[in-house]
Amino acid sequence: MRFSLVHKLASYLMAVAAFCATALSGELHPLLVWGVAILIPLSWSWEPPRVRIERYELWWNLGTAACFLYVVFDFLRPEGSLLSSGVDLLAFLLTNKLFNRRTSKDYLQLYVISFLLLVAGTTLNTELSYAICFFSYVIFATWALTLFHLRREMEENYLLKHSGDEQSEKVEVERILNSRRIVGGPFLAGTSAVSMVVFLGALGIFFLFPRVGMGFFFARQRHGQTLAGFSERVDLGMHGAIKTNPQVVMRIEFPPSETPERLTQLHMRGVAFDAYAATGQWLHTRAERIMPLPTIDGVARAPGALPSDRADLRAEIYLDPLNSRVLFGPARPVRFELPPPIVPGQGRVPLLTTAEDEVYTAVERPAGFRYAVESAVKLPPPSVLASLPEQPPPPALARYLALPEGLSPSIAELARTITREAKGPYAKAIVVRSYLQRYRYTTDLRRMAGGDPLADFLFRARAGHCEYFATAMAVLLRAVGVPTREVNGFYGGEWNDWGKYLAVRQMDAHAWVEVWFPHYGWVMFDPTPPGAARAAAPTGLWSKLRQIEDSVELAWYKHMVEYNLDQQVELARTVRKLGARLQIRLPKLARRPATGLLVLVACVLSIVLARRALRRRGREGPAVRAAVRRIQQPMLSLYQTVLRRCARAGAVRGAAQTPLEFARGLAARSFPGADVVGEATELYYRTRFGGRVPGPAELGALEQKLDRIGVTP
Amino acid sequence: MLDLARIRKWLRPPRRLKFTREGRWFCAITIGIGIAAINTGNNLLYLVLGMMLSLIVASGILSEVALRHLALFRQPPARLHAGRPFLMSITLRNEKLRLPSFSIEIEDLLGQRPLDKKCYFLKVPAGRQQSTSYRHTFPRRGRYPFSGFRVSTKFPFALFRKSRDIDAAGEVIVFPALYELFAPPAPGITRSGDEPHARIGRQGDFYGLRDFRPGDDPRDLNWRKSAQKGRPVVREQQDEASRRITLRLDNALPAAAALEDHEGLERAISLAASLAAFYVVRGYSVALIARGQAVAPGVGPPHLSRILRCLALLETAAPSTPFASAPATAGEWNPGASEMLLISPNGVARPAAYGAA
Repeated sequence: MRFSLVHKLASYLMAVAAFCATALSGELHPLLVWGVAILIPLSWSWEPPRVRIERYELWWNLGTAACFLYVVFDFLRPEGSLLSSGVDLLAFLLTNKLFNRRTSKDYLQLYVISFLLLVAGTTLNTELSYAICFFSYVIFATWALTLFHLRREMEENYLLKHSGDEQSEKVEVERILNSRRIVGGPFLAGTSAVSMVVFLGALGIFFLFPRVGMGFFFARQRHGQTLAGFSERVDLGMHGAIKTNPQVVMRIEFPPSETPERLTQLHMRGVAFDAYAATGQWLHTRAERIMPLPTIDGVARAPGALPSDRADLRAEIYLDPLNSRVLFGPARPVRFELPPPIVPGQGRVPLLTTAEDEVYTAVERPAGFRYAVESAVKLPPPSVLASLPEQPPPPALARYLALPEGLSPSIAELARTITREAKGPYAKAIVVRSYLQRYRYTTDLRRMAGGDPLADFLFRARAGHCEYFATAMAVLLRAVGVPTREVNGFYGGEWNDWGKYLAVRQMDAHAWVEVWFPHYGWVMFDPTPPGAARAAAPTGLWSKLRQIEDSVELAWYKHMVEYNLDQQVELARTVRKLGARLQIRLPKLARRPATGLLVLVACVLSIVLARRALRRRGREGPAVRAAVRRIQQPMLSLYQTVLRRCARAGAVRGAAQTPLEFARGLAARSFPGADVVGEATELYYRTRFGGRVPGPAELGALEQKLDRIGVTP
Repeated sequence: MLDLARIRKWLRPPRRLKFTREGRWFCAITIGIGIAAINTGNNLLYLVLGMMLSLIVASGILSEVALRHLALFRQPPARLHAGRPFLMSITLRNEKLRLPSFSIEIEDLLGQRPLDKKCYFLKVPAGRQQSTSYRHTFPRRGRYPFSGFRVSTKFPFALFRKSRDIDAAGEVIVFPALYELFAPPAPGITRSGDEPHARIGRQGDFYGLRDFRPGDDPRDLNWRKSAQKGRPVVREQQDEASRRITLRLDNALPAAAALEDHEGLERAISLAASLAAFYVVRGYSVALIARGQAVAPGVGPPHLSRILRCLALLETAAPSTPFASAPATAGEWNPGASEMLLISPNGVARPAAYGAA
């Protein structure tokens, strides 16, 4: 390929990688992203001599000024942000430079702009897409910067053509820029290998650079997912809308002893509601319900946990950025553990809790969030719950018995009918759940407009999704004096075989009921027909690929985006442990200083010998042989000429004679020019075996003496 | 005895590293990114920082690879004259077996200091050699010792200029400047302004044609001209005896000589060199005599080189120093029988006297 073409291509790829690093964040205006995406390919052919760029210079300058004013104006708005306004300006400048490429200076400016875009991407885009863009950028930047350097060197004053006494003249740069001999496949492969080393070096520095931050300006952002069903008010029917959304909400890692079958049956508790309105909304009634949740060293006792609760499952949860601050926990959370802050000295995120035993972070989480939960998964034995006598709940639970005004009387009637023969809260709960599980599960709801959605579900449609089932159970049990509350969270998820974790998606959102029992508190009941709420596990190649992609994404968040001092210390400990394990495996002798030294010397020696062997082996390759031949050729040819001259004068080198023996023989019999032959032999040996090839001057001097061979003075 | 050159060589750093303008900016930005990463705790900034530091390290390794296993040779032209530009040929051989060397700059080290001229090699493939040349002018005659080469590269990212010195000792002798003689003194003069009196001889350069006279050697007949003129014509040649020149250069200067006197001597030396070149080119046998120095008479280009070399290295002598005795190497040579040209800084031998430009 032509040099200029390769350079242009590498520069474009570098610019595109940097632009994608910010554009894929979703933070830029779509119009801007599409505009730049269309203009970049158009600019490819926009260059001299095809286009007279200077004719449009004024327009580009005016455009830049206008863009700058817009950015200033945008930034001065109350909701304006320097970062997003700056990125808008950078995107324009990038396009401007691509359309105005003339000299190497323009290319340099292009690289600076693309670098700034890459840096902006670190704040705007923490998705896996940034990792891909970064990796591409490293490769293309290595190409582009190397080629840029060569191009500029060509354009500067080095390529001079001297001829005799005439004035030196510059060789036409265009001709060299169009040369196909400077860069080719091997060059690109070589620079790609270099970029790999750069990439690995970047990773090494990333992991080893001490995370000792001050954290003055912690300003990371990630575009949070909109999560329905986890706000202050939830309307019936919301879950139906998200049942097809495959976006991952959280990834959960469990101890290796847990089986995927058990883990995919877990309910992840999120928010709970105490009040139901007949119009189909679940609400929180307590205005003063939010209070701080005390933590000691990042560990907090879950608000709903009883002293008797024993945690039997530990889950490490990686939450994606959400528009909700709620923290989820499997089954009945007992303990929440918060990670240390990414920036030391910043302090852990404070937690809040509510009367409904929800757990929230006190601050917004623009980035993803990692924490651990220990939960009691095992429910109290049914026999124990069934044996509890029916007694009036304490007055503090009155709100969990409240029925909405305007609730259809037929609902209460239905509750009484169903539980007619049930004794005790547990029996009532089981009866109601069994009754509801006869209903059909569907997300395709055709509700009557303006009517009571619950009555519509129970008496007309007899089909609905989890929210309807949970609401129906909660209201029916309340109608017969059993305290209940509705819980929203997630159920199930997709087990990722590659990453060995559970990926919970938006479509796994679920609702169920908690029933209060004396001494046991709130116990979970899920009235949705078994299996109905679970999305069918995807299969096939596409699913596998998606799993791989998701596990890479988790690794990206876990080990790169959320990497902190603790992980760094853990990494150091792992390395230390590994070292210690190796030391244990070494024989006792090797641990003595003298023997250790001996082992070290042996290791060094083996490395040297291996290197030598490799080099020797490397010398046997055809490319290397050719290179050696090329280096030695002038001297070898000259020596052949010497032999021919000698032969012409009657001195023929015997087949069994070494060059040195031959030269000495000539000197012994005072052969004319024997000294020249001796000199040539010495240079020949030096070239062949000494690795010191004579230069042109030395060869020239010897060549001038050749006429003396065989000629008597 | 302290060998300063050797000590200097020991103390010399194996590599020199100098920031380029872009390199300075790059490092400043790297530091800025590092501070930003520490401040914000943004891990992706650490990643960018890692990339930048790795680029710096890769730059160091690649530039080292580019500079290693290079052999350099210089080939000056056969004759260098002060004040006249010349082309110094530089050959670079890449003795690496697999890797090419990119973007190599070569500077010749005159003494220990690089000349202001550079040679640039864009790409030298493995096992190949390339030659280029730089143009330079030495202002004064004399001996110029070269100690080696300074090889440098900004490859691959132009962040730094890394250079190393390669020993390649050598020297060039810069001959005195040559004047273009518009009115060269013809043979036979003894002082400036004298008319030439060439003698006719049997051998030598062409002198003229004349009609055949009885007694002339028939071998001198010019048959073509005889046929044209219709009568026998013979060619006359200059006598070899009149083709012998001795240049007597007075290189004496008093101890307290002024700068102008030194310049005058330089002009005299240049004039002597110009005359030597003038006569040798025309086949004259030329000898040089100066105070403390002499070159035996001789003919041909190698002899001219001998004279020019002697003049190039000629030093000023005290007025008391006698002229060197005439060299006796040329068997029949008798300085008294040859034509003598006297050249002195303050005498008639000023270049203008011979129409020198």
